[in-house]
Amino acid sequence: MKSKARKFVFYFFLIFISLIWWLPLIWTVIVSFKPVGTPLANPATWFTSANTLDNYHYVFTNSQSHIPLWMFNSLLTASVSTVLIVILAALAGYAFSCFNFRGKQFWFWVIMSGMMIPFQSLLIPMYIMFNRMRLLNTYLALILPYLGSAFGVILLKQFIDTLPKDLFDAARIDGCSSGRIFISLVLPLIKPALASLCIFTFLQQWNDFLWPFISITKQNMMTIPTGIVLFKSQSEMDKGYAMAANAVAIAPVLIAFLLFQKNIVKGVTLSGIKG
Amino acid sequence: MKKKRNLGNPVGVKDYEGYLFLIPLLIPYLIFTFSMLATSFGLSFTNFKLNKPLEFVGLQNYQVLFGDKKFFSSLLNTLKYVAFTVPCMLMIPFLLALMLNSNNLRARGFFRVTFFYPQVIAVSIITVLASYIFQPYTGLVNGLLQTFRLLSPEVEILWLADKNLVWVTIVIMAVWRSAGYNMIIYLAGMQDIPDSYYEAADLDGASGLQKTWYITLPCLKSIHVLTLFLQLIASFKVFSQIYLLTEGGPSGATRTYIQYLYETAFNKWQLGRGSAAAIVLFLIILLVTRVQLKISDRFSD
Repeated sequence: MKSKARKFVFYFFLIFISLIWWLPLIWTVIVSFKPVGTPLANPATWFTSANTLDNYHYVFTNSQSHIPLWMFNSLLTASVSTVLIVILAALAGYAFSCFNFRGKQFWFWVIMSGMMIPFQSLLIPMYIMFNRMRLLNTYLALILPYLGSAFGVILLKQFIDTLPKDLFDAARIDGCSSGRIFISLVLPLIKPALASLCIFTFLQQWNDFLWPFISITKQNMMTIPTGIVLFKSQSEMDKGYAMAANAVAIAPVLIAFLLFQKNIVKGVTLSGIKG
Repeated sequence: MKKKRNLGNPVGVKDYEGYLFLIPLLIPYLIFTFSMLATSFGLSFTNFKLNKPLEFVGLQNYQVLFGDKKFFSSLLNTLKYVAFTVPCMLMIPFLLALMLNSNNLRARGFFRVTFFYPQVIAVSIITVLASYIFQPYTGLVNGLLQTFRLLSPEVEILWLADKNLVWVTIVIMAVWRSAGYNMIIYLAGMQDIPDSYYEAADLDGASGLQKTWYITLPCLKSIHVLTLFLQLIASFKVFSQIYLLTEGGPSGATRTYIQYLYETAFNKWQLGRGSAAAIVLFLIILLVTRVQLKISDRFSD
C-alpha cells in the first residue's frame, strides 16, 4: 500500500511539472484564437470566451505580415546550408577515416580546435567581409558562414571508422575509384548518422539568431527567428497576432521534432559526448 | 619498387587523394573560422570604421575597454548569469533524468518530449512569448498566481522591471528552455550504468536515495564534468535570450558581455574596440576550455 501511495505522489509530481512545461505552448495556442482585448489572465476564461481565426488570417494575409515570406526564407536557407554542411562533413570525415596524407594529424587538430572558437568573437570581421562583398541582406549571407561544421566532421569520421575496411579494399580490387566507394558504399552505410546530423543541423540553422540578426536588416530577407522579434514589444492590442505568429513559427519545428525525435535526441547525446 | 615515403594507403590510391575530399570543407572552415579570428585580432589594434582608412592605434582599444565601467558591469552581469544558471542546469536536469530513468515509468517518451521540446524552438520566439507571459495585469504568470490565490488580486509582480526580480525571470526562462538538453545527456549516461550495480545494492537493502547517492551520482562523474563545462561556456555566451527580453534593462542591470560587444560594434560602430572585446571573449573561452581538457584528462585516467 505504501508503495502505491508513493507511486501516486511520484506521478502526480511528474505530471504537475510536465504541465508547467507545456503551459506556455498551450497559452500561446489559446491566445492566438482569441479576439483582441479578451482578458485571459484567469484560466477559466480560456475556455469560456469566444474564439476567432482573425489572428491567423492577419498573419497569413495582411501585407504588414511577412510570416509566409520569412518561412520561405528560413526553409530555403536552412535546407541549402544543411545539405551543404552535411556533404562537406561527410567528405572530410571520409578523408580522415579512409586515407593517409601528409599533415593529417595537424588538420584534424585544426578542425577540433576550431570548435572552441566562439562564433560571437568572429562577428565583426564577418560583417565587414560580407559588407565589402555586398552580400549583406542576401541568402548567401545566411548560408556561407556555416559551411565548415567541425562537429559533423568528427561525428561522421567516427561512424566511418566503424565500417569494415575490407569492404572498401574489395571494391578497389573490383576497380572502384575513391569517389565511387564514397558514393556507393560509404554514404549508404552511414545513413543513420547522416539522418541524425541532417535533422540536428537543420534545426540549428532554422533557429539560428545572432548572425541573421546582424547580417539581415531588410524585412523581406529575414528568417522566422529574426522576423518574429518585430512582433515583440508591441502593444497589448497585438498580443493575438504575436501569439498566432508564434504558433505558426513553432508548428513546423515541433512537428519535425515529433517526427524525428529519436534522431534529434541522438544528435544531442553525441554532441554532448563529443563536447 | 618502394616509394620514398609510404603513407600506408591502399594500392592504387595516391597520397594526395585524402586532400581532395578534405579541401571542400577546409577552405570555408579556414576562411570563416581561423581567418576571421586572425582578422578580429588584427582589427583590435586599429580604430576601424566602415568606409574610412585604417589607423593603427596599438593597445588603445584594450586600454579603453579596461577603463570602461560598462565593460566590467556587463562582464559581471554575465558572470551573474553563469553563477545562477550553471547550478540550476546541473541539478534540475539531473533530477528530471532521474525521474525519467526510474524503472517501469509509463509514457517515458511523452515526458522526454515534454522537457525537451522548448529546446527546438528558436530563442527569439521564446522571448516574444516570455515578454507576454511575464507581463503584469494581462500576463499568464501573474494571472495564474492570482487565480490560485498565491498572490492577492490587487498585487502585480513586475517581473521585468525590478533589477533583482528580472534575474529570476531570466533564469526561469533559461531553465524551461534548456533543462531538457542536459537531461538527455544525463539520461544517456544513466542508461550506461550497469543494472548489476543496482541489483547488488538491492541485495544489501539500499534505499532509493542511497542508490542515487552512492551509485548514480558517482558513476556519472565524467558526465557531470562534461555538462558543467558545456553549460559554463554556453551560459557565458548568453546574449539573445536576455537582450530580446530586457534589452539589457532595467538600467543596464542585465546587459551581458556579448550585448556590450554587440552595442559597441553594431550600434556605436566602433569596430576596433568591439574586436578587442571579441578577443577578450575568445581568451576567456579558451581558458575555460583548457581547464576543461585538464580536468577531463584527469578523469579519464
